[in-house]
Amino acid sequence: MKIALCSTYVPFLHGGARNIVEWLQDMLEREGHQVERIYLPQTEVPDRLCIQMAALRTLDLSAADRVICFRPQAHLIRHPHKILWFIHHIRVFYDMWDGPYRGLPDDAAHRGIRAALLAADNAALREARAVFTNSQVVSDRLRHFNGIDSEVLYPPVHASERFHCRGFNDEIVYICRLEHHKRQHLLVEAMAHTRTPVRLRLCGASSGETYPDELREQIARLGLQDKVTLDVRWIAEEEKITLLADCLAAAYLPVDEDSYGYPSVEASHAAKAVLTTEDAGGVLELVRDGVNGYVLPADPVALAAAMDSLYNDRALARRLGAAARARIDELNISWTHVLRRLLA
Amino acid sequence: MKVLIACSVTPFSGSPGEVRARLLCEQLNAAGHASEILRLPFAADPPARLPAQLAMMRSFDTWNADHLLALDLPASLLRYPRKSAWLDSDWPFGAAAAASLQGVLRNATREALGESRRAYCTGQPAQAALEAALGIGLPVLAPPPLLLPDNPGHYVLAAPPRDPDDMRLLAALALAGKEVRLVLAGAPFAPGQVEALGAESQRLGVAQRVELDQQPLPPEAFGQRLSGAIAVICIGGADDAALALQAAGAGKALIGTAANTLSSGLLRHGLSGWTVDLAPAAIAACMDEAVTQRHRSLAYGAQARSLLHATGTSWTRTIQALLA
Repeated sequence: MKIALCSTYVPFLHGGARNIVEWLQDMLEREGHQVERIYLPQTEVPDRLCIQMAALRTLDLSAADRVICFRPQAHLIRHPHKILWFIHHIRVFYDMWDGPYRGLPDDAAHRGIRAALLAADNAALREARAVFTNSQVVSDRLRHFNGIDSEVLYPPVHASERFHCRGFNDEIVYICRLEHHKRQHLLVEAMAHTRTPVRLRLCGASSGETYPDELREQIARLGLQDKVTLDVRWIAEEEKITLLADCLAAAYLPVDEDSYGYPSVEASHAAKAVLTTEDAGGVLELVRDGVNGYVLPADPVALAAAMDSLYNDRALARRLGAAARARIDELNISWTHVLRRLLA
Repeated sequence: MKVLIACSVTPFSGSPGEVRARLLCEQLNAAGHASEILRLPFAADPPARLPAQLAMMRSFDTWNADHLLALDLPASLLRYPRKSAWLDSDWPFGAAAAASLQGVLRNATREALGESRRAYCTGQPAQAALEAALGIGLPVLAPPPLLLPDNPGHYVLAAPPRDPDDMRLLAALALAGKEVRLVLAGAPFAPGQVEALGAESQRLGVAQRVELDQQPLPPEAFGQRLSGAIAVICIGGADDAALALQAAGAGKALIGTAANTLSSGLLRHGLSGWTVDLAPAAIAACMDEAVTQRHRSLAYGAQARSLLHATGTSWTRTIQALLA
């Protein structure tokens, strides 16, 4: 089958939104399908949004037997056999419109853009043969804002069998892009409250210099140079596997994320407990407090206490880690399931 | 510097410019830049839809790159504050588009090129085509060759024909000796052309002596194809000038027309290859000679490489020019 995988993207930014596309491409090609991956540029400048959406409607993908669309506004692409694996809305015009993170004026112009976006989304979403999402959070938003029913299809990681557990050292690892909304700074602050020799490793690339500089300054200011490792670079897969194999536990605490995030699934495959926060969003679909990790208030003292308890009780870390691995199967997170549903 | 390379593609068929895009991307990364390819789906057919397709290209927005390099005319329509163009002549200024559309195409192209800091052509055929269509004379910046190990090779290599109905290479193969094998390297540009070429090779009884790629080739695969050739035909393919340059870089004898002789400067009859007319019988005779007179072919290839070296073409120079 000729399958076009369509998503919007920002050049030179790598993360989950690309992984879901590229890993699916690999799996489809292994099954013998001919896959065309199409990343289309898009900026979310409100004044340019409508014209970019019109461009997506003009795209001719008639050569494909089926198209699968991911990041917005790729779902606007027209095709008689369109499948959506919808990963988020343009949230400033949806759930963030009435909140502090809108960042746009609530004026006639932006309300007009919002109305046009909603109308276009509603029409395009209803064209799809099937709508899947990457989390219950996103499915709930589709129902609430667009009146669309969807099926949650949790995105698996690539070659999950590579992840394994080799032991439990003294280190909590947070392997993820270094961005303010991922809140690495909250963990650094927590480290100042720990009472054990537990260590923290933050590693990943960043889209800019500012946040890594702020983290460096924070670590120095709190005198945590001997307890916190900050590694600002892209972490290769093999290195990530090794870090997860040996760590005490993993952390993933973004602000109100759309899905559980690959770092938490990778840690679960490595049988490691996941530390997260009550406001982390989709992560809470994976992590159960006290079962396969900790779901804590976004409070450094609470995070510090959890890190200390894992350090002091390796049997606990092992038990939570084993439950994290079992949780993957419980949620049916597998490529076999994904392919069966997308190609149904 | 973060350099975004933009090229247009026909979904599931690729484009002639894609090989150049991948090669350029590799070279930019090797030179210490960060480079990515932006593949923009574009449908030149049917011509009546061209204005909408042009508007689509003008409507996409992007950011987070220091420099955008557009490798064909549709892709050069993408707006970017710091943009350069490096064009082959692959653009439907010809008879396919109705006269009423020609003005639209020309104006869009002029506007896109007018926005570019620098604009180059890949070779003199592209330069002439753009001059004729637009009255714009762009400087030539030839794509430097792949670095390939010396290998004498044994088959004749060509690019798939630009015109989907052009079967003359297969007709020539049918007239050539049975020891001649032909490789059409890289996917055809037109949808359905793989099947059409396959059917014609069956009809002519040459299917066992022709290989036809189904997919666009990454640089390393194209390099392997090129390396295995004893001679390269640069007639009627989508990117003949670039192919001639790659062939010369690999030390391959060239087969082209008088137009190639004049334009690329790499093909000199009796020195670096053969100039022929476009009749299948003439092409067949050259194929025969290239395969059976191996020492001569190798000598021609060495001369083609010398002519290329004399031009001073290099990736360092090319990247400097593109990012200037």
